[in-house]
Amino acid sequence: MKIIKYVLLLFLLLTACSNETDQVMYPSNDLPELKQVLNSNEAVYGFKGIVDKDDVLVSIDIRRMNQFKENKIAKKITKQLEEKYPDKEFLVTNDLKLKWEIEKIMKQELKTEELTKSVEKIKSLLKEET
Amino acid sequence: MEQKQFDKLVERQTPKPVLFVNILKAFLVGGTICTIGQLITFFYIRFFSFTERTAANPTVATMVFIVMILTGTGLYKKISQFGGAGSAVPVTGFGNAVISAAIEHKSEGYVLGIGGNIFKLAGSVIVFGVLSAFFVALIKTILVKIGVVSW
Repeated sequence: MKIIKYVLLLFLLLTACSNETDQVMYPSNDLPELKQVLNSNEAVYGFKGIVDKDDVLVSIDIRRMNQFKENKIAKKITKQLEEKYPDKEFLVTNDLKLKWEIEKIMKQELKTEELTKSVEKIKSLLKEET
Repeated sequence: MEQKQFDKLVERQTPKPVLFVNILKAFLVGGTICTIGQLITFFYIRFFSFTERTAANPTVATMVFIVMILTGTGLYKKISQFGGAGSAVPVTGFGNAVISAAIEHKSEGYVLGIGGNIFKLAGSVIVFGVLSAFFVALIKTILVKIGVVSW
């Protein structure tokens, strides 16, 4: 019984999250400076994004200790990106929902109309306050 | 026997609380409850249209609901006897306070017993929450109307 307890405690203490991080854009990365901006920020270690006409949704992974000021970082990056591409509309956040939705879209390989539809849906979701 | 002597005697006789073990138990129970809550949050984000910001409300509701059932079946009593503050401080303690008061006064009738006593313990929490939310919303509305901040 004691051994079981110790093994359980070991599992609790030794396991950690290990998600591979990647830097991808969907359908294609035609914004070369986006990667530059995100890589120049030390707090960000990975990102996933969707480009649909004028809308660009970017989900960023923020380092653990920087998560206290996640909103500030997201706002700063949005500002920098809007300066580089004034004709595009950016939405940068570290919300898990966006990341998972982007992964879903990438997996289903949605095209044009469906993509626009789901992008609009995600945008309205992220604006929700209540 | 003088008062001081009596105090000494009492002090010698009362068992010392095992502080470290109690803290560890509270940590484990509270941590388990919070882990379950986090898993429910992930569930709502994954399968429903909630974001990280909006998933908190349904999570709290679900946790309170689960604990209400556990309290009714008598399971939560055992958990809180083991975990102490670890089971009372998270939002689950709120659900437990509501239902246990209702069960306690069931014998006095449905209206005067349950109805009159169900919010005996948790009523102040609800009143304070509603009232402070109302005033914060009022202040924000005024500030937005003046033009100091935006929604």
